[in-house]
Amino acid sequence: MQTINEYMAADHARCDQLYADGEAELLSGSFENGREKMLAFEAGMRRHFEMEEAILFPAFEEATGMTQGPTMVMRAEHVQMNGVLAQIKESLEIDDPDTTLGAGETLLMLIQQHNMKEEGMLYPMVDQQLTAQVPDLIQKMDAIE
Amino acid sequence: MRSSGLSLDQAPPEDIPFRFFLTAPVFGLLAGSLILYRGVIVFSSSWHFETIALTHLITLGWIMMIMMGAFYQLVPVLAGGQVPWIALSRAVHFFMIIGILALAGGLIQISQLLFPVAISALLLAFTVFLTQLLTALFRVKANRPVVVAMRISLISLALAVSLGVLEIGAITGLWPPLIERSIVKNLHVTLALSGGIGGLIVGVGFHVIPMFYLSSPFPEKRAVWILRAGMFSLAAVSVMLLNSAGSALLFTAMLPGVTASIIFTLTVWQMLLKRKRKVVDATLRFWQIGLLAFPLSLLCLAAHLFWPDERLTFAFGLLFLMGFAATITNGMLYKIVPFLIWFHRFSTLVGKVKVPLLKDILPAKRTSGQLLQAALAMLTLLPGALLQIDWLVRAGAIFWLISSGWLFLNLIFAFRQKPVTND
Repeated sequence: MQTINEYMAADHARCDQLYADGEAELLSGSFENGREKMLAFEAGMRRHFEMEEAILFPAFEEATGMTQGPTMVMRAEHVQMNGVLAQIKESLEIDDPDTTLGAGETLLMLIQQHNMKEEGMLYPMVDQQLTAQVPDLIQKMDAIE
Repeated sequence: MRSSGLSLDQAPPEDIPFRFFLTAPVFGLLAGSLILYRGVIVFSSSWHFETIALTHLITLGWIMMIMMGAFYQLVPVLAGGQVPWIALSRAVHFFMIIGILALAGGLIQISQLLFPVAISALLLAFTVFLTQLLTALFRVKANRPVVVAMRISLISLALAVSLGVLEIGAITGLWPPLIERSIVKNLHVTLALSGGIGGLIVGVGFHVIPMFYLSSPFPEKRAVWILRAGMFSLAAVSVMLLNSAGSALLFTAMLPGVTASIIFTLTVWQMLLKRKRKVVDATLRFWQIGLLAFPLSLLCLAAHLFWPDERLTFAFGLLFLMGFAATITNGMLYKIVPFLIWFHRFSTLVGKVKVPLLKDILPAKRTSGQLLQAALAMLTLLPGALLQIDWLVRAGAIFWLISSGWLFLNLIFAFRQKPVTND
């Protein structure tokens, strides 16, 4: 049976790959392809946040009664990441690849330390506390467009 | 996993890691000045007091300063443990500075009275630091490789510091020598370098390479094997040294650890080559230089067992300390410092006002220039020490001074970035 940690870590890796692809295109000067891939990355990130904020976090909070704990910190970091994602999107609209790459580098650091905390602590806690619900949670998250 | 990881927002106040990070290049400047002033003499005997002073300006002043700042910063993120009594870290930093200056001052024979000061200050600093970090790391229930590596590093450091203190007390007549000096020295160096410094860099390397360069993860089983082999060798070499074992036995005891180090190096090199991100920055080059210097330093160490020429000791010292440890910690500062500035000062302003990006906090051209100086320092000091050429050693000292000064200015540049207030 797939664990939440495995499922979510795979989605982190998928988003990382989308970013790396976009970054490589922009670095090679291929702006149109870069924009397309960066937008796919942006969509992937927003979907990942939704999976967590609409399904995973509420389930964890309900099961543990902890609403002021780790999920609160993770939500706050999502707000910060969304802010930089908006900057990336804006720079793509005005054809400013330097800003896209700079904001991307900044976002990536934010994402990586965030993912480290989720994969190292939060997801294992979810797997432990909500073991019986894991297949159902994965199914619900899969259904998100 | 229990409640140890409940709070995910445990980053220390920004001044704590920064005070350690900013101090490192200042000791780099002192080390460079000593080499420039004394020239090739500092590479004449590893028993030479000025050489010991130089070594400690680099190991304690540069490497340990960055390691301490990194421990305080990374333990909450990588290991999920809260570092207790965090405000005391400022005192740790203060007593480290006093202790290192007193130790170096005593060794270059300013005054014998500085040795008791060095012993007290360093013991105090390390006792507080090790108590804080060991408490944090043994509270963490997870036994991820990085946690194990950090524990190995801290325990090795505790032993290395104890031996160091024993040695200073013995040479200054504060107490009689308990063990033969050469045994203490070899044990001290083995524990401090392979366990203390190597342990932390390897452990952190497992995680930061995938994080920063989007490589595949370090294979967990291999990481566990590397740590076990490293621990085995550390213990075996220590026992051999205590029993004054011969070269062949020492080499056999070293072999698993050396093999593990080479496997670590090859794995990380491969991960970097196959990284998802194609971007090349100075930090990547710092890692690559460090990864080249690491196996070369081990080669010199192994060769020294069978061919006891002091020049091999200096080649090992330069390659391991400057080429590997100082280089990798230097590179990591360039990843961590701009991010911490951004995180502490600007992250809450995102979307409200225009905030600088990491590339604005520390522009790439500043870091690549320093990288070149650091590389030139290595490329001149190494042949200078090996071939005992005074002018080459002094030229290396100048490159090293420029590199340290440049790093310091870069860190100050980043540190000065603050949100603009309109009132």
